Amino acid sequence: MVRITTYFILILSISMLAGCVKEQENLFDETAAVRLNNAIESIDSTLTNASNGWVMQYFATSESPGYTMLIKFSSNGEAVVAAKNQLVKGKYTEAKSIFDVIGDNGPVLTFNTFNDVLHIFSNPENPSGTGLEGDYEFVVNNYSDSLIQLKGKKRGTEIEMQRLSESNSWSDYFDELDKMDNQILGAGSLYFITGRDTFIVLNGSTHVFEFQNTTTNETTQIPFIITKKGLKFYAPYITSGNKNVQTFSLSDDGKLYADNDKNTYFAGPKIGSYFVNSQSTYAFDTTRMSDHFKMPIRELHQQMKEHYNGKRNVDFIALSYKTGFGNSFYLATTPTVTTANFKIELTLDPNNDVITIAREKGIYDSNGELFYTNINAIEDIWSQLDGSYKLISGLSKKEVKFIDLNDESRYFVVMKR
Amino acid sequence: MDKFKYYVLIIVFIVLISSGCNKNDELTDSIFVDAQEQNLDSPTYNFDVWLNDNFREPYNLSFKYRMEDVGSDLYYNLVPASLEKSKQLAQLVKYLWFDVYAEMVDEEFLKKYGPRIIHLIGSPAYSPNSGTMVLGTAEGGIKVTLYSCNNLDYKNPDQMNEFYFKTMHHEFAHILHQTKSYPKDFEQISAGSYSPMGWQYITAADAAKMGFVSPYSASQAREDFVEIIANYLVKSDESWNKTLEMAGEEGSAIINSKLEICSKWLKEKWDIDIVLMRNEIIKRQQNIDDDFFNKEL
Repeated sequence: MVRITTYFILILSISMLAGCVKEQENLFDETAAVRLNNAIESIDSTLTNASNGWVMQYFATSESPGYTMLIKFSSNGEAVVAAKNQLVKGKYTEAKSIFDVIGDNGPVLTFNTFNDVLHIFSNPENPSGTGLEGDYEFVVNNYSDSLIQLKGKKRGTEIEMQRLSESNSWSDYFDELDKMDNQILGAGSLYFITGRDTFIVLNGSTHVFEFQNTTTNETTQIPFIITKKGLKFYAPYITSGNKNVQTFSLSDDGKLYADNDKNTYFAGPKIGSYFVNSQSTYAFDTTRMSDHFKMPIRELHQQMKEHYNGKRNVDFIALSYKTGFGNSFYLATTPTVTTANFKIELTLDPNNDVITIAREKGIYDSNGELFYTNINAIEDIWSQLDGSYKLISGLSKKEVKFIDLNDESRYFVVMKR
Repeated sequence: MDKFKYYVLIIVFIVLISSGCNKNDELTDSIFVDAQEQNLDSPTYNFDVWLNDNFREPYNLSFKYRMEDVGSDLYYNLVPASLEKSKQLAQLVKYLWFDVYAEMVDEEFLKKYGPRIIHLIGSPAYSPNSGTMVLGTAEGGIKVTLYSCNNLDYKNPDQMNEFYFKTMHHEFAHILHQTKSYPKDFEQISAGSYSPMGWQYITAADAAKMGFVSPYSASQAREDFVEIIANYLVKSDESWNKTLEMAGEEGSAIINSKLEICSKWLKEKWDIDIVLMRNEIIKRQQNIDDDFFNKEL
């Protein structure tokens, strides 16, 4: 009996030894809850330390267009959010509310009182019942002094915030984005070229591109956001060369290149053929032209003012198209609104993308005849337009620079109205 | 010798047990931050102090105007209430609900039976599938959630009553009947007419003719019971009589019989005179204008 008991105690003792022999080392110095609280404090100070705020690149869902918001977080718990988009009627708008960093699914940035700018994306009232389905609470995935990566708590949408430099004024920032938007979008369709693949790109103005494969006719929706350098897709696009491209920058040659792959880019239609077929009105930018044009235009303003005693001042002059008349040099007056057309012929050299302007002397509409008789400067401008021009334009074709082929110092810039 | 070994083994065993696992982790810092700590620099400092003095201290009630998603129904797409509307609604809740009970019953009544949490939500709670909109909820007598707070228009008493105060009295009546049940007679009056899934397709006029003061009353008996109380408390004579006219002879008789049961139950179980309380609420509603609100909050 003693022997059995002895063996029993011996085995039990050994098993007890094995049970306690190794204390598991802690992977972390502190508990999960303490680490979460520390992370919350650290994120809060990272947010508030950016004295000029953050640029938030917001997508309500992975299928929605991207919107830029600027956000300044104050240490007293107040957040100022600014935007300029069609959801705030196209005007630069700022709104204040409260923010907090809370422990939820990890550290979560929440805007927990209503903000007129930010909550537009999550308000279910428009359209009724669902709204734009965006988040206003964001799990903080990664953070540093220059970049914070967020994930929408409900939708899981990936959203980034980049620290805004001190020198940037907020309203100027949005003006720069508008300018970039104007330079990229507006020509109707674009082309997306990646290696040997070419896509026709539609619906740019919605900020969700439709890529049409020119070979297979398959379509793909690509949400994007305008940036100061160009644009950024919501998610990386895998090219036929197996590269992930996401951010694009506008180049001086008018194309928009992937930042990490120069063989992947957006290009617009050739400007020469686009311009002769556009039938749009392109007004002269009188601040960007050589003296060859500037002087007679200045004279035109003076003569109109004197002859009509301020009742028919020059509103703008343009290259235009009038149905039944054709292409014209165009004059619009203010405050009495009058328009006049003086005929020009546009000839395209498609091989070199060169346009020749030739005035058709003596051909004008009835208002044109009246002005031509009374204002000498019209003849000067009209005749000055004659010439062959090399055209330079960005993707949007909203702005076109005409440079005389025979004399590069002769140039003018026109803007689409 | 065997006996000696035996004792040695027992001693080793005891030593092992007593020394085993003797290393305890030291207690770490508390994970909780003091919830009542208020930041003097905060843009909500004055409002937070007011809420503390008017709700938390006297009624042990947390008035949550900063939306807590985790405390809301995740089925819905919701947004927070604006700070401006939260301030207005907090003052209106105090004046048109808590102060009324304090005056008409006693100060202890809402301390004892009132909710512990009022949670404001900025948007309505839409159910796109059914086409309905939730105006408020009361959960187990503890928490009242008020939706659509960003649409508060204090210059429009009908809208205010329909969206907020009717909802408050509706939800509070739930708390009361969950504490002391209402008479079973009530459920017999419209038994067979309730439509839990189809009430949203009934018009206000048809509901009235069936003896219901609102389409939602027709969903189930307990909703019918609290709708009678809530509608009677907030509607003016003109508005209440309009409902009775719409109901016709048969419908108005049903509504009046329901009101009689509600009035009797409130008096007997809670010592509340519904007519006097209604007069007090209507009188107070007339005092709501631009000057009513504390601009310092």
